[in-house]
Formats: sequence, C-alpha cells, structure tokens
Amino acid sequence: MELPDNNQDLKTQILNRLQTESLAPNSRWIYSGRELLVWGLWFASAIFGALAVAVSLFALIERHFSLYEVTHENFWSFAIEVLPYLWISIFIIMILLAVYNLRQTKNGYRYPLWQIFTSSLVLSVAGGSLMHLAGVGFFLDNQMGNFSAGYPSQERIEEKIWQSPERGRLVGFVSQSESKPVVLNEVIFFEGLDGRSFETNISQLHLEEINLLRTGKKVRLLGQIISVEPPRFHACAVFPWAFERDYSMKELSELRDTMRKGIERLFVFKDMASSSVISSDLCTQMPVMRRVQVRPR
Amino acid sequence: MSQSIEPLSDEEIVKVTLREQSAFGYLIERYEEKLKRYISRLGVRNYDDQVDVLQDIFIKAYKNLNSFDNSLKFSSWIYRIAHNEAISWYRKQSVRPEGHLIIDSEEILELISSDEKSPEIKFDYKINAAEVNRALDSIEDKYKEVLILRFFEHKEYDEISDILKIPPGSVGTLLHRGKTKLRNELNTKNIRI
Repeated sequence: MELPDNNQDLKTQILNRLQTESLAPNSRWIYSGRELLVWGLWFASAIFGALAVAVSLFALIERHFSLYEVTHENFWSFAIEVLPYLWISIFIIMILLAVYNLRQTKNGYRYPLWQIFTSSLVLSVAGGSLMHLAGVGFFLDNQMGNFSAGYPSQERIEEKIWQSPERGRLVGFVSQSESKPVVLNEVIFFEGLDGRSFETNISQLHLEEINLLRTGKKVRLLGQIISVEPPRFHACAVFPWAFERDYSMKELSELRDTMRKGIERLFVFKDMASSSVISSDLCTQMPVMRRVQVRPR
Repeated sequence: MSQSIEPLSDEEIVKVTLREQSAFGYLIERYEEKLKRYISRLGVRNYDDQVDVLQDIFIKAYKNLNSFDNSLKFSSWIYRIAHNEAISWYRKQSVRPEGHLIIDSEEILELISSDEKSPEIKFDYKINAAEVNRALDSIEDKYKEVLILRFFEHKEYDEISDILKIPPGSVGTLLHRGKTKLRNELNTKNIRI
C-alpha cells in the first residue's frame, strides 16, 4: 500500500496508481465463468439430490412392501435396520450444497433462506420422484451393488436378512446337481447363498410353490432348519425373490399379499396341530406364526 | 471530455470507464466524500486509515468493473465494496469498530423515532449525537449496519439489501429490531424516548 500523499487529491492518487501499476479491469469472463461454475455446482447438487431421492424412494417402497413380519419382531425394528441411511445422508448433504450454491449466485442473496431451501427441496424431491418412476432408483442401486462389493444395495440387504438358515430363512436355487425334476416328492436339494446345499423337505408346500421352485429362479424359503451338518431344512413356504427387475408398487403389493397368504395357509396346519392331528408339525412352531396375524375369515 | 461525461449517470460512466480509464475519476469525485463518511460511520476514523481504505475501495471497484451488474444501482455496488473493505480493515485491526456519526442529531433522531407502525412514540429531540453514537456502538453490528445505511446514508430497503447482500425482507426485520434495541439502549442511559 502506498502511503497517502497529502499533496495530491485522492482521485489523482488513484488514477496514478492505476497507470503506474498498469491495473485494468478483470475480464468479464472471470465473472461469467464464476457464475456459470456456481450454477453448475447448484445443478449438480440438485441432480445428485434427486438421484438420492430416487434410490431412497426405491428403497423405502421396496421396504414398505417387505414381509417384515417374517424377519423382525415389529415394523420399527425392521425400519431402523433397513432405512437407506447412506442415500438419506447424501440427500441432506446435496440439499445443503444446493442451498449454499444458490446463495452464491449473483442474485442469490435476494431470496430468503427458507425459499431457497424449500425450492431446492421441492426440485430434488420432484426430480427424484420422476427418476424413481423411470426406474432410475432401482437401476442405480442395482448397478452400484454390482460395481462395489461394499455397497449395501437393497438386494444385498435383503439377501443378508433372508440368508439365515438358523432363523428358518434361506435364499437360493434348487441345486443344479438335482437330477430329479422338482415334483411333489418330499425331498430336494436347495443351494443357499452361502454355497451350502440343504436337503430340503418340501412335503408341506403347495402346488404353486412347487411350480415356483421348478422355474429354477432365485427364491426365498421359509421353514425350519433340521440339522446343520448335514445341512437339512424343512420348507414351509416359498416366495419369489423379486429383485431381478424394478417392480411397480402394485406388483410389490400383490407380492406381499401372496407372501402373507402363503404364511396364513400354515395356520391350517396350526389348527390341525392343536387338535393333535399333526402334533409335531415344524411349520406351526416357526416364530413367524406368533407374529403374523390371520385376517378374519 | 468532462463536459460530455458530467451529465451521465454512474452506470453510463462505468461503461465509458471500461473504454477510457480516466473517466473513472468522475466516479471517484462523486463518491469520495460519501464513502469517506460511510466508512467513518462504520468505524474507520483515522484520516490516514480512511485514505488507505478509500484507495482500496476504488482500486477494487476499478478492477471489478466488469462484474458490475446493471440491474443494481452503481451506488449500491460501490457501497457494498466499501462495506466489505471497512469490515476487512477493522478485522485486520482486531478491534470492534466504533463508528463516528457525522449527523444532524435532531433530524436523525426524528428519523429513527419515526416508526411507521408506532407513530405515537416520541423521541426526546434533545438527545445529542454523541449519545446516539454510543448507543449505536453498543448494539450488534448487523443492526448497526442497517440503521446506518437507512438513517444516515438514506438508502432504500432494496439498496440496503444489495449492499449487505441480504434479502429485502430481512432488511425490514433488522431495522425494526435495531430500532427497538437502540431505543432500549437509550432508555438504559436514562434518555427519555
């Protein structure tokens, strides 16, 4: 900083300084570029926020129709375990970034914080909802699951919850080595996701459940483990896997109804068990039988 | 050139300055005294400091002329720079700014008391400028800055919004609260309002 020369007026001092230091106005491109950058960062935050909403919606809807009664004591213990924390956190961070970037734009200061916050929130939620309807949430979750072994995709979470033979739940396929066709015979070999092949009793399954096994697709089994070594399992119900594509809410709702009905059917056995016809029936002793309430008939 | 430039608006002179550096002198002439008073009110009281800060303000304004947005008034834009430079100056000094009001006390006090929502409130016009100055220095900077711009620089709400980069609605809120705080402060000094 030059010392002020009291013999010169301020105007002369400044104009001299502009000349001696060869000062010139900064290029307007610097300011246009900065403005463009801030808007770009805002747009990126809004897009990532919308993606986070899309995946969160996919996860929440998927969970809403999950048969939590089978896997958890109540809905809240289930919700706490499966909420998409990662995406909810990303969404919150992106909203804050969007608000910050919008405030940094040329005229961003003119709008109250709540207006900027609400508009960013609405935009991300609306965009995320549209993306979810277009299947982006499922696609992103699925692709990230395939790409990264550490990413907790919804399919991976569901596998973790269902691949639990000790709790009477299995995910897998009818073993390839099974030479016999899946018929109404009483025993098949079912390969769980941990690679173990369970000798599985299917005598209590219904025809549509047998048909589902026959497709060779990935399915869930609900039942009771008989022995760990050799691995033996008693199947009480078979449910489709339902993560191979993006299911609509209607389909998920129907699927949940079907799964509930599959469990409710077991109450017939329970009634029979109470009348001592099948006193040692394994399906009636499943913990899930305590939790699932049968609709009035 | 002086004859052709003098009648031009500030905004038009900015355009001329971008082609011809010397035209910037007219903007300096127009704003030197105003900004000197403003930064003094914000706390830059020593003459040498004022010259330094004013130089910084005008140099910064010149270098950033291309960022001037024509949707703003030039005065709002250069007051914003002045405000930022004054704050930056007293941050460097690591002291809380103590403003120096150059005011016509009766007129200003009348202005402060003229609350549109409470016309019945009457100020004691005998309060002198020094007392208002002390009271103003004792309230938070965010209120003080708005009060200075509104009542001592006679800026409109939109201009204050542009200078301080806050929403126009917040200007009204800060003014209302600032006036209340100022009244309370004057009350505690046993000054009847």
